[in-house]
Amino acid sequence: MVIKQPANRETPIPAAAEPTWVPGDEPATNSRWVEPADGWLAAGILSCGTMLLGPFGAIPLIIGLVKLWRSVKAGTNVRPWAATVIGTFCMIDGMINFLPWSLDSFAHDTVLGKTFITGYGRFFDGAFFLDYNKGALGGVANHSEKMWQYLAVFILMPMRVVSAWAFLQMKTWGLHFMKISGWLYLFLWVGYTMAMSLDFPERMANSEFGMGWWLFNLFYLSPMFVLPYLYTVDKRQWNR
Amino acid sequence: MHDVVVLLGMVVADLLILAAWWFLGSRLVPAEQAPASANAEADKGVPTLHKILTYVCFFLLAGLIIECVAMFPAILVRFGWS
Repeated sequence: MVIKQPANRETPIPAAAEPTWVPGDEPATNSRWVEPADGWLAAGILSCGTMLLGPFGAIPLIIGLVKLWRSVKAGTNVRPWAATVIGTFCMIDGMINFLPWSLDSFAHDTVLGKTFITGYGRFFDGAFFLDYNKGALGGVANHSEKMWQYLAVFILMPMRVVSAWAFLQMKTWGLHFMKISGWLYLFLWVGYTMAMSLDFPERMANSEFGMGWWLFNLFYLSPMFVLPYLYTVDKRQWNR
Repeated sequence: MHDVVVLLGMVVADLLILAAWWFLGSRLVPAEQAPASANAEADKGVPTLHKILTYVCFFLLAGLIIECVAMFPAILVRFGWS
């Protein structure tokens, strides 16, 4: 049986001071989450990640983060603060790529889908506005965008979302899948940057803000920041 | 002759790419599986690295939250329903 220790504990507690549990004598209050505030965190991430409910999602998300920060300050946390920040960032990032691209893949004819996707297109990326719903698969007509979209919706982004949550819940496979999806994300970033750059005149030049290219690159660079953490962290903490 | 130079350049580029991945792959070993001597050396910079990465990711997280909160209302205000 594994007894988890608080992650921020610098020196191991002597063996005599550790609680001694025997199998079948687990604490009655076995929490559903790693941290009590993870319910707030999940509600905030899921709401924010839809983009459509973003304004409502920020409230539980901030409440969750504040509660978790207080827990870190009080020394009662199980999960390191760095893991909370990085896992939350990756999960929201996965969600905001997964849901809107799903809208375009499966719900491009709905008012909600069309409003959001073409609105995004007008602001940032003309591919999501020009010739919308005129391609063979509906939604975005740009072929390279459609290819990346299907890769993202069916493989990378759902994988990223579930692995980030499993990572936050300190599951062994969560850490493992975060690494795999991190490498896949790097693959997507290089390909997507090429597609965006080659189609720059049609895509960015037809949006209201020419900074779209910079915007997506800032967040798509996440593997550069996340992979070094995943490979240097003590993976024995991810033991659920 | 021109083709030879280009092909040699391609071979050099491919070798450099392979070498870069060899370098990365040989070093991306989970810390607790590396030899103890390597851990002692590598662990020195880890807390600083984690601190920097946490600050960067927190900044990005804040940016994402702003994006999530503002995007759809901005679309509705600027363009209305489609």
